Amino acid sequence: MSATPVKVPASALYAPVEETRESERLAQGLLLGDEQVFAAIYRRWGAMVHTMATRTLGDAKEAEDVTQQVFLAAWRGRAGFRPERGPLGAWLVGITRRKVVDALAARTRRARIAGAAAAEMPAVERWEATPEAVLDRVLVADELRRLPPAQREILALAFYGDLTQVQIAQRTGLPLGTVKSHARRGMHLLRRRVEEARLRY
Amino acid sequence: MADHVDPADLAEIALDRGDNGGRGNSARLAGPRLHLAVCPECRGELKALRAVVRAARSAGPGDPMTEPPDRVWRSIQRELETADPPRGTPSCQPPAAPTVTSSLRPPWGGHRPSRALAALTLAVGLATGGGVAWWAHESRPQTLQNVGAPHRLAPRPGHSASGTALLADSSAEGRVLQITVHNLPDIKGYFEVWLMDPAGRRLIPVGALGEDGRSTLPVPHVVDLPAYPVVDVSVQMYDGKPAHSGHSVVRGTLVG
Repeated sequence: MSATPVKVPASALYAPVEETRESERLAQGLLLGDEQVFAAIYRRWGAMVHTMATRTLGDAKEAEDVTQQVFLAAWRGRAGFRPERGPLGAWLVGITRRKVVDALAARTRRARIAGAAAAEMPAVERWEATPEAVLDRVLVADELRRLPPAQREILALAFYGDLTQVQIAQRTGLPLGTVKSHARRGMHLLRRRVEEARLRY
Repeated sequence: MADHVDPADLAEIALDRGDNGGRGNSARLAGPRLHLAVCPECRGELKALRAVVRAARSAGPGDPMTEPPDRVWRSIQRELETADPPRGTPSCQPPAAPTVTSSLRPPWGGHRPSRALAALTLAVGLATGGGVAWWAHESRPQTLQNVGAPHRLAPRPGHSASGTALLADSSAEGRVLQITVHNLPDIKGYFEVWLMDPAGRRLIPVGALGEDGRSTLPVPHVVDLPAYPVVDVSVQMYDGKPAHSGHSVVRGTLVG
C-alpha cells in the first residue's frame, strides 16, 4: 500500500443518510395511503421514471403514458409494496420496467397488425441491447447526482476522467485514503441500487 | 487462499478500461489480480462493480434527466379523482364545498374535490388553472379563489432549486402568494420569501418558507404588486438580522 489511510469524518463518506431516511418516510406514507406523500414520491422519482420511459421508448407521447401508468400502478398497488423486499426506488424501477416492456409489446402487436416488418419498428436506443441496460444507466445517473458532492466529484473523475485513485488524489489535493473511501463507498452504493432494482425485474 | 481483494482495489480494477496499460496494471494491483484469478467470490464482486461502471460510462457525465411535463401529473390526479373517489374516513372528510366564483368550471368536472387531492395539486406546485383550489392550511381550512397561473421560479447561479409562485384570493387571508420550491439546499438557517422591485433595490419580506419548501403567505392589497413583481427566496441565518442576506436561491417574476 503506497499511502497511509487517513481518517476522514464519517459524515463526508457515507451515502446521505437523510436521503435513505426520506425514502423510508415516503415508503411508510405510501403504505398509509397518504396522498401528500404520493405527490412527494412523484417529485422524487418522476424525472427518473420519465427519463427511463423516454429513453426506452423514444416517443414522447408513449413515454408520458408510461410515466402516468407507473405512478397510477404504484398508488393503486401500494398495498403490494413490501419494504423488506427492497427500497421504494427499486420497486418503482420494477414497475417502470414492466410498463415499458408492455408498451414495447403493444408496439410490436400494432406493427404486426399493420403488416409492418419488425425491423422497421422504432427501436429502443440503437446502441442499447435491452431496456434493462437503459434502466440501469438512468438509475445510476440519477443516483450519481444524489451522492454527496465530494463522492460525486471523485467518481466523475474516475468514470469520465479515467484517472486512477492516486491521480485523483494528486488532482484534488485530497489524501489518497479519502479518495479511496469515497470511490469505494460511492461505487458500492451505486452497485447496491442497481442490484436492488434488478431484483425487481 | 490469500485475503480477499481490498474493496478500494476492486473498485480501481473495475474502473480500469484495460486499454491504458499504465493505470490498472501497476505492480500494486498485480497481487489482487492474481487473487481474482482463483477467487470466484471476488470475481463476482468485480463483475457487479463493472456493471455499475459500464452503466455510468454509457450515461456520460451530467446525463440530464427528463422532467415529465406538468400535464402528466395533472392526468394522474384526474385519473385518481374520477376512478378512485376519496375515502370517507373522518380524518379526511372534506369540508363544505367551496363557493365557485370563477367563471371557469373546476378542472375535476362535477366531482366534489377531496381535500387531500386538492392538496396533491398544490403539493406538486401546479395550479388548477382558473378554477378553485382549496385545502387545509395548517388546521384551518381555507378556500382559494381566482387562482392565478403559476409563475416559474428559476434557480440562481450555483443553485439547482426551482419552483412556482402564484397569486390567489384566500377566504381566510385575502390575497395570498402561494409558493413551492423544490431541491432546496441543505442549510442551517431558513428561507425567506421577498417581493422585490425589478431593480432589486426595494424589498418587502413576505414570510418564511415551510420546511417542505411550501408556503401560502398573505400579500395584502396595499402592496403595490406591479411595483414589486419579483419573487425572491433567500437563505437567512438565525442571526437576528432582518435584512436580505444577499444569498438568493430562486427568483421569478409575477408577470403575464
